[in-house]
Amino acid sequence: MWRATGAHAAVGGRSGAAGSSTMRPAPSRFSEALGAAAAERDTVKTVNRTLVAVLALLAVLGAACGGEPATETTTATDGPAPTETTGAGATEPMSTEELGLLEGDRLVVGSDIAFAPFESVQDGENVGFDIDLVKEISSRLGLGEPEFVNASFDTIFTQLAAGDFDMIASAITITEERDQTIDFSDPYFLASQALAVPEGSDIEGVGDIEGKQIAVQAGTTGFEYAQENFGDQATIVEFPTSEAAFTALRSGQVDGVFIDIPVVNEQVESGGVELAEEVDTGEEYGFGFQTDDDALTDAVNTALDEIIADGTYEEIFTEYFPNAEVPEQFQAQG
Amino acid sequence: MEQVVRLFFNPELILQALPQLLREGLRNTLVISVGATVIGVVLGLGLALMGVSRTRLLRLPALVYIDIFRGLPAILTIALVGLGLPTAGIRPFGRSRLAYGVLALGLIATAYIAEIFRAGIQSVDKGQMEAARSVGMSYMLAMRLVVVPQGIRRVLPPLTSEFIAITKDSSLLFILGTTIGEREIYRVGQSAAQQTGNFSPIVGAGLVYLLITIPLTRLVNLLDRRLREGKDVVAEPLPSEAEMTG
Repeated sequence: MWRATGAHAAVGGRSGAAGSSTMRPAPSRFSEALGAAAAERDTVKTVNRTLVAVLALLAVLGAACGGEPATETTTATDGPAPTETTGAGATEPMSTEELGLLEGDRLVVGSDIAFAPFESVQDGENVGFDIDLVKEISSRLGLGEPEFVNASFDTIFTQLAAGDFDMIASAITITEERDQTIDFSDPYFLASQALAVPEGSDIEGVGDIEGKQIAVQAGTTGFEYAQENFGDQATIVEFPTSEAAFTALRSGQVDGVFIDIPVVNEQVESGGVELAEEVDTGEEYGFGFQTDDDALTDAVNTALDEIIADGTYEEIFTEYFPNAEVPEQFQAQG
Repeated sequence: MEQVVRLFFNPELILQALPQLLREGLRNTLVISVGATVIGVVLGLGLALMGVSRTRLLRLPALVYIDIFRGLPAILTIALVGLGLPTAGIRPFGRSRLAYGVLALGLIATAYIAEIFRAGIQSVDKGQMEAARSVGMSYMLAMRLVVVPQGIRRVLPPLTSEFIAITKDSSLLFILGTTIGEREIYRVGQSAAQQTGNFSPIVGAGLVYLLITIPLTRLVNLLDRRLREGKDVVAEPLPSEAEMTG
């Protein structure tokens, strides 16, 4: 799906919609995390934190140049109440210390929160499939409310590697390239790409896009697919966010948008847009972790298994995709 | 620390990104900034003259324009112009995203440059206008021949600063969508960062910005000094020892 390109890094971020409840100045949050990571790594407590902070600040300023907030910290305040599992398959909750989290007893989760229905800000709250799933995982691990940090997809992988987040949850397609630089959880969602066009368009599928302008979100797997498969017939136009791409579509600046199908469906519901063709790319989403963070990766995988096995996954899935069938691998067992 | 160097200041990746940054990015950034500045200077001068006019009817629209375009975040104005105009069916540039972007930045620059010109014009001593009028010039003629030429010299430093600001703002055009070939410096760096999973190409983009902005900043300082101290106050270099003995 999306975010993509390359290795981990960066993708054309979606600029975070702002409505956050608590905000901390980005530089301090960033340098704090970087500083903490550095200190941990070297065990030398005398690491020159000032220098690190200055460099981090530079980096943040660099990101800010792009006109997108480098990071916004938002604390989720609501969502489904944590459900405790008592099911037979439930494992002992790990001691939270073993997980080595940035903030001790809660997950700091990086996400490009502008990708409905997976993550978006509505009425000042973070909502979406990824958000709810992470909250559920978090409660199964016996942790407090996760903290969602709105990050540009451009920098989200770099920030994860730099120790800014415990994990990233941002409708990220698992790719081999990315897998070399970060670790992925087990897949938690199946998605394909789709071509969206304005209502009444004469484009009926990817066969009709000769000479047209097709919008994609920068850095996504949709962008890579489009570039590879129809880059020579159509003009591929990169946008920083899915929202910007669809605004351009509605304003007639582009002829189509090629992006993950759940996002297309969401836009079709808002009106003015129709699905021209689904392209089965068989992509799977996973959560991302730092490569040396096996304890957390394993813990999240275990929690995910439980959530699938006891049917909680189906509940969350149905809430966001009422018309879709839960894929077999995510259906409750027994 | 090592991590910071690896992720942000990787010399190999910066060097690798530089050719594209210079070839595609630098060119587009300059086209955008120069275009926007030209729009800004032309419209801004008009707006400044309206702003210092004695007629309320002229002053008011200028004031409103300046308040709005200086008060909105650039990224919002860019979105309004680049996506809003076409949505409203106003398509002077067809689908050229770059042209809408240049227009948007030009409209923003207009507001700032109008203020710069207004300050310049008002800094010219009142007596200049009075003297010009007293020898029989009309208000417009006195403005054109006496006041504006003096004012403009004084505004060269702030104008150059404005150009620098526009250069940096040009990175915001990304929200209108970009194709390969029309990316400006920041976007080129961003694409490379995506491919490598490393922030260093964006730092490389920063270096290319400095390539434009540092010489200009020096130029501003030089202009500023010249205006304050007059031309070439530098003394003739003393004859070197060699010349003296030779």
